[in-house]
Amino acid sequence: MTSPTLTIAKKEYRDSARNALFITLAGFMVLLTAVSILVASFSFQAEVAQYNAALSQLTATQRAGAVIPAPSYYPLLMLRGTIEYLEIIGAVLAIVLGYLAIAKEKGSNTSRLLLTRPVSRAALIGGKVLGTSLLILTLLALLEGFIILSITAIGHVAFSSPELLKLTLSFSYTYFYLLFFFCFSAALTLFFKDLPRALLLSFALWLVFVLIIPQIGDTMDPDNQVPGGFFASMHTTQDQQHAIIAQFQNYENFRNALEVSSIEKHYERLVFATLGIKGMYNDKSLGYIMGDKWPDLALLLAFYIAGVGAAFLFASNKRIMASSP
Amino acid sequence: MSSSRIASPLRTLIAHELRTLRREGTFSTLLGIFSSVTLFSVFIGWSTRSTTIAIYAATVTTLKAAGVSHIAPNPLLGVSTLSIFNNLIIYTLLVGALLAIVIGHRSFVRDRKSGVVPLLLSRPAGRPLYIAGKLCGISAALLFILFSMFVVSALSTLLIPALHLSGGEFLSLAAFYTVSFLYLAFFAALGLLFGVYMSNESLALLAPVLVWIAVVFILPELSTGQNPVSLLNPVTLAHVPSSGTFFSSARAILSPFSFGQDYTALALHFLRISPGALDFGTILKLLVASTVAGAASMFALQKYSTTADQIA
Repeated sequence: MTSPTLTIAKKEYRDSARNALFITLAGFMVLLTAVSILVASFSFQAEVAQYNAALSQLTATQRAGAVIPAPSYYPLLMLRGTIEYLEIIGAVLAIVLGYLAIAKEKGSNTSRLLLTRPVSRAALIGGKVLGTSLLILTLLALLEGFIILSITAIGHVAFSSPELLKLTLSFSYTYFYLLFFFCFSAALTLFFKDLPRALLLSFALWLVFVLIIPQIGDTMDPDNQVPGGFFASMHTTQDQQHAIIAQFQNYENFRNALEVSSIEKHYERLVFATLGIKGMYNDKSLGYIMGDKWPDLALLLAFYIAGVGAAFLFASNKRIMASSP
Repeated sequence: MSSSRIASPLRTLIAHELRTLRREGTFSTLLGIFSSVTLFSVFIGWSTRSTTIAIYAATVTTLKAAGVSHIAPNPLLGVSTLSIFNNLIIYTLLVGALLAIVIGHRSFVRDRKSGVVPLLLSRPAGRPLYIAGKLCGISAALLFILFSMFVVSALSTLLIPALHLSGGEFLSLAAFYTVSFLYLAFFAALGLLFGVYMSNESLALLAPVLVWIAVVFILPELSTGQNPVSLLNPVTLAHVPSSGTFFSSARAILSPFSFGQDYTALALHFLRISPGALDFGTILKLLVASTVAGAASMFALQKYSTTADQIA
């Protein structure tokens, strides 16, 4: 005999996997992944072509001894675009799933019937969280498989074991990030009687926390005011740069406070470090990366726990049954 | 039918659209959001600019103390004061377009859900006039909101002593809001089109959002090689696109559909962030795109069956 939580989880998984909205968005996510890998590979190709042209020019002018750094190929660095799409579009997908999970019960009044059965509210929400967790994990596993196959086919180089581990770990962080948005949207849909308003508010908060706040933090960065970087244009050393920025600590604190208020920034910092997209962590061991990035992991998990907690907190009988007239 | 007889139902439809937006609270919400976004953007732009100027001064002092004799001139010199509005480009590109989609979508779906579409279409005004009324009403609302944003921008420059715009800069700012209207009108018309065309309410909202994702993220990424988040930085936006055969071919193929890039190129020009001559062809393209989207929604309504007027 299966528990009510498992039964609801299975039903949730089946319903969402068959939903046209989910299928469209999941297909779109795969398309975006393919586009970003394709663009990254052509960008690298252009970089190699530029290097070869510069090298032949040096050879022609008999300055072959001059050293220019050759572009190095790291398969995980091809994933910057994919991760950014998971941050933006993946969150939309999770919001839609969270909305559908609650709206379908409220809209069709099946929640009233469900609550007449010996099913606790915790089992109802727990089942939905579990079912969606399995669905998101399935989607992420498929996406990871697609990434491994396509990058191996394009680059003709197999992933090493540490690279595979880093990739899998990054996708585990993605699960926590996406599930936060699922729970957050489900909690708002439980909270509001007016379903479209709940969906609109979820999207409004997505805009603020995923697009606007990180964008403000980025555009307020003094180094981003000039193409190529302000400090690079001034030819300052790293030490001089740090000393100068230290004089504007209040401004930097405000900018940083904006960034850390968004779960997206913690997820991005953690995954960019793990995959080596952030230059200083490229080719470093997981232990070294974790030593530096554990606060971002802790905050990502804190957001996740808060999201799951909110979904359970708003699951009162009154709220589950309340629906638009 | 005389022109005055046509104009009267059109006026009624426009007035009804505006009244509904006001009654639903959509109009005041949008006005509030856009005015706040404008003020916030001005504050962020001004704060960043003045801090970067101070950082330049500190850099000069540090480099002189280190014995450096040749110091590069301030890279912000010659950058127009209008550049403090650069975040508005991104907010219009993201928030503005999504809200325009929602307005367009709700405009028809609202009537459809309340069951008044068959009744309205049975009136002598006709289908094209019905959609024209909706498009004109939405456009009037967008124009009013953008005009309010222009007024807020102009007033905010008077409040900050360091910001003084010349007459030419005010005209450029007005031109920026005009192209913003063309861009937003395209997405509002797209929201209306899918609202008429699709029978599933959620999919009718999702479809224009997917077009928006393609216009804002996918097409620029394919034609410039920039990552999605880099496309949200106005400074990076003005940067030279990636070289290589793939990107130049993609640019050539995707150029007719790159409305997001067209809008940002025009906005960067009018805010004097990006140098170069004004491309009138790009303005015309945005105008044509909005008109085509509007005409397509009229065509979709011609095919619309009132007997199957159900929305899921």
